[in-house]
Amino acid sequence: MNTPPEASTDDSTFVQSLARGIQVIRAFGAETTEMTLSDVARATSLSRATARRFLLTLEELGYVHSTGRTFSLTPKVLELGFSHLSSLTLPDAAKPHLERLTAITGESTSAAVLDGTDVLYIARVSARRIVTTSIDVGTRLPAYATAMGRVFLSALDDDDLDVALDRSAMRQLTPRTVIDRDLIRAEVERIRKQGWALVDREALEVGLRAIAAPVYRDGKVVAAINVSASAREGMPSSVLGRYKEPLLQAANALTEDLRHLVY
Amino acid sequence: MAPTDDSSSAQSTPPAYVKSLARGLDVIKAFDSENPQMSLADVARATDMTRASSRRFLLTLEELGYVRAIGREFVLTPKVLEIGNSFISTLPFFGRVRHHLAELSVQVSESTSAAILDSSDIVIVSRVPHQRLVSVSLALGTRYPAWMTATGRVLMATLDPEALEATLANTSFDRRTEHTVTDLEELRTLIRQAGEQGWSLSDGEIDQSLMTVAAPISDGDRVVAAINVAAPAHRESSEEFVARVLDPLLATAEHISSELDTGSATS
Repeated sequence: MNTPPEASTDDSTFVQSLARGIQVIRAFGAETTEMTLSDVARATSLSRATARRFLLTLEELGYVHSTGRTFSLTPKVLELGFSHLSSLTLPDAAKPHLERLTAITGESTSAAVLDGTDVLYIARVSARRIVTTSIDVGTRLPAYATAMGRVFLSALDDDDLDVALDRSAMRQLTPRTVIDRDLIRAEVERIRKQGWALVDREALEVGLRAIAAPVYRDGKVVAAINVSASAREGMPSSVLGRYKEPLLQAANALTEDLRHLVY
Repeated sequence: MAPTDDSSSAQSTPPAYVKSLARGLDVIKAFDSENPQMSLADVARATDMTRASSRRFLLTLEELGYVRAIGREFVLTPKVLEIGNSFISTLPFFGRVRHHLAELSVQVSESTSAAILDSSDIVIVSRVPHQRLVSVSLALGTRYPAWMTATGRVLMATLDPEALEATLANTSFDRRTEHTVTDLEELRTLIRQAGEQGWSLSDGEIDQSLMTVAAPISDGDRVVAAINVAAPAHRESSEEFVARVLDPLLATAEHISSELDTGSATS
């Protein structure tokens, strides 16, 4: 469902020289600031003749500097997407994944961070048919009553969870809001095990259901993303369960992207 | 300007030249802040290639994880940052500068950055934004003409006289603001001063609303970069700015330099 326009990849479309050239650039690093032709050939598993062609091409293009025997990278390498992407923020990074997730599910998708005892929406992609919810970037909802919020709560240890619930001033936001601590603890335990959270009309009167999953950076949950839908008459809450796989895939892909972000 | 096929090679290029590498890298370069998301047709237009060629490069980059398709359009993925990081991590001060810049930023409550000299430009290689300056987006890899920045003057002061004159001879002195110093004699004086006093100030020369003060960092043998503090120009005079941030800046530069010196001596 995500094939790019005009077809799929096959061996004849793959440009080997591009892959190898990038591999040569990436062979340089903290421990390999300067390399000889043999070093580069060894690091990339290319023949000396091939490595030489790529190094000379990169030198011609200004990405590599040669001092006779050794080669090093030049700052021009930063023009290869780096300058453009280095100021990428968490919302920027989340957006393409949410767009994809909305394309797959046909539902609205969001990303949020935890701010105190609230989830704070930092990115959102609306499904076209939904016009009624008031949720937008900047919206805050209490963590204890939302799927994304419970994802954050489930990342806390038991003591910190108690502290968070103490500070939360839990109240009955809708007839379905769970405010019993033991029930919330049990739910949190379940989320820890299964890796996702499902909440059915607990936070907003308009009746929103959401399924949410965690996004990690350096081993910590830094964001949550969700798929949400208005609860339509006669629709079982389990219907969101079928979005579980694409949701988890998107959360993992965003986690992977965040590994590369520059602080 | 008919787009040529990927297999054709231009007469002027050497036989070893790998044309499809050059073109593939051009596809990456075509994405920028103005064009973060492009269709196949957009990419073909921006790189002066056929749609068929640009499609092959985009699909290859997608396969490698550097490009992602969203509907009918393409974006670069953050994995692309690894390519630039290969360069950043070859810098001798890689991994040591940023936390010092962060401390300095907290200490003076301003944004800080580090830059290197690349012929007649400076290139930002590390930066710590201060919240007050959220509007100033200073992307890593951003280039400025060295001669009109405090950082550039500090770095140009380390060039030998011939290299300095060669760099200045290669430069067009285009004014950015009414404060930009474009007189060659005055620039030589500013650069000499930067070398003698070990720091430099630029007040509203790149941007009316910005002041910068910079100092060099050295690995014991040579100056490898310069660090700077930038502040909005409207809040205080340049004298007040220098009085406020110069000592912390110089102390940080000295601290980094001594770490680099020790680091290179023990390695």
